[in-house]
Amino acid sequence: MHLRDPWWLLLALVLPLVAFFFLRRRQFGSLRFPSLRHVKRSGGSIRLMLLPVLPVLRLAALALLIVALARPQLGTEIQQDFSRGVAIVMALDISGSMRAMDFTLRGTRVTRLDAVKDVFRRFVLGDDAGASAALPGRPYDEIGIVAFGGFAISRAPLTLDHAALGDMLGQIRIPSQIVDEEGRPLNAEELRTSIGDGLALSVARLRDSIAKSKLVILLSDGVHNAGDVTPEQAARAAKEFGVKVYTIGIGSTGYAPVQVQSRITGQLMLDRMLVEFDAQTLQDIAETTGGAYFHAESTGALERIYAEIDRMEKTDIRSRVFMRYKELFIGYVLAALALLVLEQALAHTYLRRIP
Amino acid sequence: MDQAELLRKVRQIQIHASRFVNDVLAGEYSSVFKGRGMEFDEVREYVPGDDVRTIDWNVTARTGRPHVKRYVEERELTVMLLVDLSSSVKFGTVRQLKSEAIVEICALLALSAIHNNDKVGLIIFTDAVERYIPPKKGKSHVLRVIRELLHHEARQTKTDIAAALEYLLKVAKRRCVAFLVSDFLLDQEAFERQLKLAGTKHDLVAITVTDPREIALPPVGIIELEDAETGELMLVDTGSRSLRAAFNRESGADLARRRDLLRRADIDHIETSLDKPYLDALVRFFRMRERRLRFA
Repeated sequence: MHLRDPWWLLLALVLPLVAFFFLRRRQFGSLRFPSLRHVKRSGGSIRLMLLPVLPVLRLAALALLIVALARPQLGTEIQQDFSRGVAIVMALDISGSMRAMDFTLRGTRVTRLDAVKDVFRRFVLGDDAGASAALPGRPYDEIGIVAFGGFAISRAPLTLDHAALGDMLGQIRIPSQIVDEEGRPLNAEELRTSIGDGLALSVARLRDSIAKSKLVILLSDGVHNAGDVTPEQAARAAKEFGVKVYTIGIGSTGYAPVQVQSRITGQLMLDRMLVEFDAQTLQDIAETTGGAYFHAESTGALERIYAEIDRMEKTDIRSRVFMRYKELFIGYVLAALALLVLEQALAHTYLRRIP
Repeated sequence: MDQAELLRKVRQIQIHASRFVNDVLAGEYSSVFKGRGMEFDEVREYVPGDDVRTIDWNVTARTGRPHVKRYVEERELTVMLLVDLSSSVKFGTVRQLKSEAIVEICALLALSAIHNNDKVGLIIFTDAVERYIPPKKGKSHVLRVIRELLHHEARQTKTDIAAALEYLLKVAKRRCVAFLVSDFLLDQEAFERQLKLAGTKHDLVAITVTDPREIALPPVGIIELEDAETGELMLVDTGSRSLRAAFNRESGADLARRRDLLRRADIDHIETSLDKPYLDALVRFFRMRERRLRFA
């Protein structure tokens, strides 16, 4: 229990004065009586002994009222964690070039996508090493995933359920090339890269977020060559909605090793594949939206980049402590009232004084 | 009390008392206080009509002409009123204050005395003697006495009967009839010696004026009482039966002590209470005195 306006207690200083006043004031008249000699020898009575109770009751009532004025409250602390941290959409390139196996993960050659997925997972959920690691995880941020190849698909909406997000991440695959009997690709469109569409969808995802800071991590390894929205348009839209875009470019123009299944033997084998990379577009996007462009050649570089983004986009976790107060004055007022009623009742019945 | 009111009051008392003096006490008063007996006045020549028994044979033989001896009855009494006007008499719960009753009784006695051609003196006392009017005769003097009684503002609050009696012994050299009018609310033993002294020298009559509330408290709950003489305040629970009983006992014992004291000092006692007409007590007393004289 505590007092909201403890200064009212200063009124208690007046109590002795009031008590003094009570004692001084001749509230009742006295009767002149010829001689008290006999009265003195007649002894007292219980009622006379109880008589001083009346001013005590009155003073007690006054004291209680003063306490009531000071607003006694019983506060219950309610901690409400809420973060309006960062809303992050990972825009992930799943074009065919992401299949290039020029990244290593724990000594194994892996595709670019696998490397990115791994690093991103750790970015979201944190390293096993815990909070001290380069990637401590972002448990308070809403994170979503948009995957884009030739088309942009929202793979996960903005969510705090990062475990589900991890599952979603795992399901992301690079669409395989489907060819007809003549060997013509049927889904060539799907295998292309639409950076514009991907960014636009990411921005659309973020648009309605109430997060304080919204950002897209756009990872691509190719050239914008498909889709309805150009990267410039998407970048402007992002800027319009206050979305910051960090762009990560991986790979370079040239040949990259790709694992392919031999049509003859059915064996998996490495092949070479021509990949194109357009760093300029990514740089422009970052510049337009106030983000930053990073280039990653290896898994380690990727980690560093994510660590840097992690550092730059610090979530301030705020937890607000609410106090729910229960006003207790009513009890004091009622007690004071009861005392006053008792005092008056006694003063007018049992302890009545005449005149 | 302004002068006009005072005069009106004096007049009222005078008329009131005179009626009683003339009607009720007329016969009683003159007979009950003895003078100092017969006193030789003169010897003169016999004139027809004189009682032959009064002829003084010695003088008649010497002169050869009948002479009679004249005696006069010494009827010239001195009445002293010792009046207690302390604060405690400014109390009364029935009809009037004790002080008013005291003044009326004194006026009655004074007027009776004057009616009988006696001298009346006044001693007003509280803690000390506050006023002394030497005994004198005459209507105007008695009116002055009454006025003085009504007019007097007590300077002190307490009561000292001993001092009053000592004063009486000092100023009244000759035997007189002294009425001590008081409520006797003090330690009854405090003035026993003076009482006995005064009782032997003078014909002392104690008149006690009592209010019924002094004997028994009414059950009215808690009241604060102020001692009229000391100003002391005290809360009293008159609702308490035990307290009222104790008070009754105390006041009764006090009353008994007073009666006992007066009897021991051989002093006549007139007890008046405000709830009964004091006149009855006075008449009763005079009749008793008369009876006593007759059979003495």
